[in-house]
Amino acid sequence: MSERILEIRNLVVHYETTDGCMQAVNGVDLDIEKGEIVGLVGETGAGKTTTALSILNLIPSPPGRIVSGEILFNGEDILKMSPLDMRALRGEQIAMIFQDPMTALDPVFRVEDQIAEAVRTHDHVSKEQALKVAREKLELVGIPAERGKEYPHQFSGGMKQRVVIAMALACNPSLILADEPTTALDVTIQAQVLDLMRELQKKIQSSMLLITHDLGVVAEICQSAAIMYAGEIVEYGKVEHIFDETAHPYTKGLFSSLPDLTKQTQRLNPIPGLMPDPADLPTGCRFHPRCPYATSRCAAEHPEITEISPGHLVRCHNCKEVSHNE
Amino acid sequence: MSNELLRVEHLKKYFKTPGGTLHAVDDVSFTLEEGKTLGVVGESGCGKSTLGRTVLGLLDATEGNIFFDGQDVLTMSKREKREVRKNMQMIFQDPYSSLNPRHCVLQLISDPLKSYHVYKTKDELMERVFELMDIVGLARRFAFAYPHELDGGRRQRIGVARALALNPRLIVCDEPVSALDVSIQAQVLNLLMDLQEQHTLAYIFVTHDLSVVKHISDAILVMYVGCMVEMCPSDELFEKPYHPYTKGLLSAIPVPSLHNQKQRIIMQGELTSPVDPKPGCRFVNRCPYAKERCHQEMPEYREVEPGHFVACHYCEEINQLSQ
Amino acid sequence: MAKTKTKEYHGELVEKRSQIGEIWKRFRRNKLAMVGMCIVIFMIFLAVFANVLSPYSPYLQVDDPLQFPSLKHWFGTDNYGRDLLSRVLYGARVSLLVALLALVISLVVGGVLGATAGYFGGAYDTFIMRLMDVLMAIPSMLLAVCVSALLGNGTINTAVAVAVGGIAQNARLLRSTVLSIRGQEYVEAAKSCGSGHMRIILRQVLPNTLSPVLVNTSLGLSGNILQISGLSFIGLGVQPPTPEWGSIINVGRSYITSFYPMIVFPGIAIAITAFGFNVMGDGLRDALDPKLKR
Repeated sequence: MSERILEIRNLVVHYETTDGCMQAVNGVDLDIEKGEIVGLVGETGAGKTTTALSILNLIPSPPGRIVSGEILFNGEDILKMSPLDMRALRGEQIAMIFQDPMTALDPVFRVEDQIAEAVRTHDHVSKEQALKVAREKLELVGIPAERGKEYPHQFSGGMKQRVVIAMALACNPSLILADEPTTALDVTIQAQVLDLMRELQKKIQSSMLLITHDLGVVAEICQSAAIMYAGEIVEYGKVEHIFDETAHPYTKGLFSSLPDLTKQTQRLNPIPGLMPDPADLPTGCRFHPRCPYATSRCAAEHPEITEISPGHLVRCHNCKEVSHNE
Repeated sequence: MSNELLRVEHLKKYFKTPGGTLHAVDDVSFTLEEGKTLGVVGESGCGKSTLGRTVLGLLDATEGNIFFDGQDVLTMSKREKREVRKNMQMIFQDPYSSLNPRHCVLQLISDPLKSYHVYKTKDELMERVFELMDIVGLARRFAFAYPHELDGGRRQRIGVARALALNPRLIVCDEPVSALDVSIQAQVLNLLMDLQEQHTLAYIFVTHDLSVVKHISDAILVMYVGCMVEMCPSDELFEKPYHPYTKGLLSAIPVPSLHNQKQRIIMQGELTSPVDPKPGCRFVNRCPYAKERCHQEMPEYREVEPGHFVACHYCEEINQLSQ
Repeated sequence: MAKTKTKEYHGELVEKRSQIGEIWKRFRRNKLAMVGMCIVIFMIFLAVFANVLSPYSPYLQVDDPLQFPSLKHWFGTDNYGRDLLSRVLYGARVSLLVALLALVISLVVGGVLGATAGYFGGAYDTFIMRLMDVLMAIPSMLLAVCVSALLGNGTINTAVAVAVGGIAQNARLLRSTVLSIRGQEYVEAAKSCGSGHMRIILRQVLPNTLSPVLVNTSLGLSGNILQISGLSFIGLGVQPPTPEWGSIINVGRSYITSFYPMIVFPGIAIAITAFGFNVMGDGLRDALDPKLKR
């Protein structure tokens, strides 16, 4: 199990704009093991999508720039690859599922043709074979193969997202990046899609990086999770670590911001304040202005990410006190 | 009950479309007391937003009655309506598109005050706008900022301040927090609850997010393709849902905990079209318990327990089955 | 960062940034648009001060006809021995003025038709828009020729002739803009705050149509200048001896093989002016979008 498919080391991505330099991602380290679903959780502007786009080397440049770091995919640094190799990698080895299924499909082509096209860009197979693969993939995601002859607008939202997933699976990628795949869907449809993703993972054993803001979704299908704040990973571990031994004050804040279905609470305890401006990050710990446990040390010194128990990493000076202070 | 603020009876809103008549809201009735919150939940396209807008009079009702403070709003003259509408305001989902990008915060908040000519002098108006900004926790220095310069949470606070400007008694909140991040969402929810206490506001809280609705509502109305499916006090809905749709909906919510894994009911299929619906229960093609009668006959909306209304032929039997 | 004026207001310090300042800041960053604006300002300057800048009268014979450029006559002289530089300078006056007049007419007529059609919709909308479709179906040059033939020649008539072709375009633009604004939630918000039709049109809809209209004005002006010159070139439109770029070219056409200045100089003037307005219009479009931050 300990075989790593993806290792991100000290990734730094900046966006140079006229309003200054946006530090979108600041030194992210992240490992994904074979066959694992890792949840990348954070709020808007935390740098989740930028991290995912870096993995595909698709950061729009300019204004974006990968300042430093390496992304090892099966031991090979993606950022050092030639554009041609990179193109071969995208779609074939690493596929992406986008948030909005409405815009991810081309409205003028039949669904099966679109999937077949994805197959044919990477494998040199005949059109018939590609279509056959396309129909298989459709069946795999629970769409009858006959519906492949239809156009995207004939599908409902949930069905479209299934098509998008089928398209991502077209070349049997070993890593799937899913950017908020269920956010645009209704709860009952989301449940269907999550169920499908769970089943697929069992069936095809590919790894997945699931970007989401919904801790509920993480609890449903992920094995590990990383919490991002202001371009950094503040807490990383197995889901058991994150949910049951929450150590970082930001993660705690996220949990207490959520209305609990099982308890009757009068008031929520939101994190005070706002996300910092990525062009003007606070000194020391990025979270200290909003943190209830902050000390003078937090304002001055940037905390390193440390392993507090095997496999559970936290970026906080005071995490021992935090986890005791239940 | 004693201080009933709003009573909606058999409200219908149909739209004519090229494909037929769209039954957006089909026979919805409820009452809302002063200072209470009614949560309206359902999936996209179930008519929950249309319901909110029809109650406010942004859309004309096709049929039915709306009583506000005992007066029938729909039969009033235009002028009387305008006076009553002063007491009913709305908070919109998208804190971006609901604010005119060419107006600054001050103009945005003062808009309702100006259109009702509440204040004679500019100073009084400014005083009130600043007061409103204080109430919703928006720093006064933003008075001349434009919406695109502010973040989502602050923008939504502008929307709240605008809705509060005329001291309304009822606010329809159309997904007021779904476009916001969780930590900001919690801040806005707290604000809405505080305001309710201070100003005895009644809310109609339209959302698809069941955990939010449970948190804020006194009663919950579940809608499915234009129809009411179930309505009861909010705790009861989560403890003892009757309708098979409600059960499926509740079990579909992802819970952010590893130890609360409940029995999952995955509903197959998707919403049926609200255009020219067939007779019979609207939920029939997704319902695991559907029988012949469900295809033929629209279930009656009835009180199965005091204060607990359900529209299902067989809900008692289903409840016994699952227990 | 933008200049932020801090101002005391009701005993409260507030940050106030002018919207025009923001737009100007964005516009200034666009080098090409700035060039366009300089050209436009330069042309307007020439037009306004044509009487001061011109070395000779544009109507009087001052030298031998068909002289090539020299120190005395920078652009040479035309077939009647009039100074070409003076004629081109005065021509700027006529061309710009007629173009502007045509634009105002088409904007007002088309704008009112389109905006009302968009706001009220229904049968009225259908009627107006089908009418506009008919107008659109006729090539605008042909339409201008017809109108101009119908009304007769002359400066004002030329403006009207060119304006007719622009009406349909402006009506469409205004209609689609108003339609998209009408569907915005903030209009609904204003309704729920109790605003009436008039208030919504004035406060919510109109300010938001401003930017497409401004952009279209800038782009439309260049089109109008070209069209007026075109009309004059085929002998309709502005008549000699009134100096107008197109009509100068028209006259010069007879000497095209042997004498280039009568074609080239007014031609360059037309091209530069049209370019200036076009580029400025593009820059304006980017600068006026309040959402575009970069």
